[in-house]
Amino acid sequence: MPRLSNHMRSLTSNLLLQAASLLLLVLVWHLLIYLPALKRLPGPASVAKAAIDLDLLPFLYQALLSVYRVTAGFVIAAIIGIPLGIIIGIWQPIRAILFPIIEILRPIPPIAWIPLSVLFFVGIESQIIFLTFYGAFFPIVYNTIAGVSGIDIRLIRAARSLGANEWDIFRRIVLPGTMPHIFTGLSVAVGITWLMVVAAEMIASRGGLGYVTWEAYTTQNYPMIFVGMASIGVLGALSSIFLRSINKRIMPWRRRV
Amino acid sequence: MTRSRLFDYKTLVGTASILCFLGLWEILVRANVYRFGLLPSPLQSLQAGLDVVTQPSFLRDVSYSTYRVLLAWFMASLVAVPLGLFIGWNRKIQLLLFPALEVLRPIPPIAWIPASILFFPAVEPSVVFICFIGAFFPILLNAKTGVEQIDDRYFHASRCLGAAPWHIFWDVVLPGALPSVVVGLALGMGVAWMGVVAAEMIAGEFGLGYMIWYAYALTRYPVIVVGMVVIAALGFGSSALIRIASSHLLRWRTAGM
Repeated sequence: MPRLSNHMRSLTSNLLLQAASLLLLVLVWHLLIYLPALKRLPGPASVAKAAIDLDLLPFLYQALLSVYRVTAGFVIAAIIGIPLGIIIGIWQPIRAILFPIIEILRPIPPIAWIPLSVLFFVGIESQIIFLTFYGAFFPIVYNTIAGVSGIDIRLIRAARSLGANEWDIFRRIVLPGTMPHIFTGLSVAVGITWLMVVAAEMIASRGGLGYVTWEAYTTQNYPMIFVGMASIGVLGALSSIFLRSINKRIMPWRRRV
Repeated sequence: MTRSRLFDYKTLVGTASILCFLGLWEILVRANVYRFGLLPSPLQSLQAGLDVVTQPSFLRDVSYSTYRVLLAWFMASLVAVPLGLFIGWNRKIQLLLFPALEVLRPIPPIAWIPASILFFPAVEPSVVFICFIGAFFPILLNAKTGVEQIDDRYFHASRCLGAAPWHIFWDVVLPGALPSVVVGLALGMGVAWMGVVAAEMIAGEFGLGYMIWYAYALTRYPVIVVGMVVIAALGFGSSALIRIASSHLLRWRTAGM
């Protein structure tokens, strides 16, 4: 019984500290607006008011538009990238051919592709979905390749000496062994897709939360800027949490550190 | 018999593959397949590159972008490394500071752009701020996890031997977290480059992002490719420099291997 109350006490103090942290954030924000240089900054109160006064339906439409673009690009990147990464990881000749191209394209920031994408693709949606796809593609492929390469060769040799055929090796060793890396790639990709969608929407300006935030800036609706930012942040966080829950479901043998 | 490294199988295939890729691109643009005719071709870009590199405005753009990235990255490291180390080390500090930071983290640096250009008096601080935000979180996170993955026994042992907290920090926390911190620094550098391109495209005067956007507006498309290549090279180069410098600092790690 004393152990239980100690546990409860530390739990409450932990929660209190975390709540204090968030309160601290809001407090610092509130105080910042009194700085002369930042006098145009809207405080937490006006942002909260703007959020409450929101026209809910059009805003949700914009949010869903961004979510759609992120999901489409991400899913396409996963469908193409994961098998491609596995193939490159397994077959040396294909790796020798494709890996240099990937290595050369990888350092180019996805954002730098925006002008070319706008040139090449006809519709706004395809322009933006290409950019989200591109943002997600490289982390996914790169991490998948790393995952396949990182599998202990002794596991494969042991399986072969026990009479496993190639399909068994693939299904029982390569696939489970690569999964953690695939998920790391997917997690990184989720963050980058949100980055890309916001950038593309701000620059190409047609719908979505990035556009909403940018429009708030051009129409000098300052509190709305922060509402837009916060919504993007919330949706981004939700995507990561969603991904992590799938991670736990598919790989129960991995205990989260 | 050992083959010289310059002509080994992998380098040959890699170079051949890159050349094929460039050749394919060139053909697609020349033959005007689908909408490829609208894109700049490799030869056009090379030509434009040779023209651009000799212009003084190019040097100005490169130095502006590099200056902004380096300043932001340096400041972010200065703040995020100690902060991350302490957050990883001390549970109370983690509970007090981390939730506030975690709430801000999902907001992509780009979403900060309208707020940044609105509230910072001049262009320079607003661009540097975006890069700072971009670099800050990867560095912070990696410093934190770097400390968390240090084997507990180091802490126990040092305490048994009577080490004061300052000693523990200097001899256990810092060296133990250093590999992860270095990864974070390289990552932060990459994100800072992404941020500078986006911020310059939207807000900037001067800089490589601005150069790319300007080329797009003036329909001088080959210059877009030149800008992309330069950014990629600089980003890649700076990350590589960090890794080389760190392998010097971390020589004691691989010494025993």
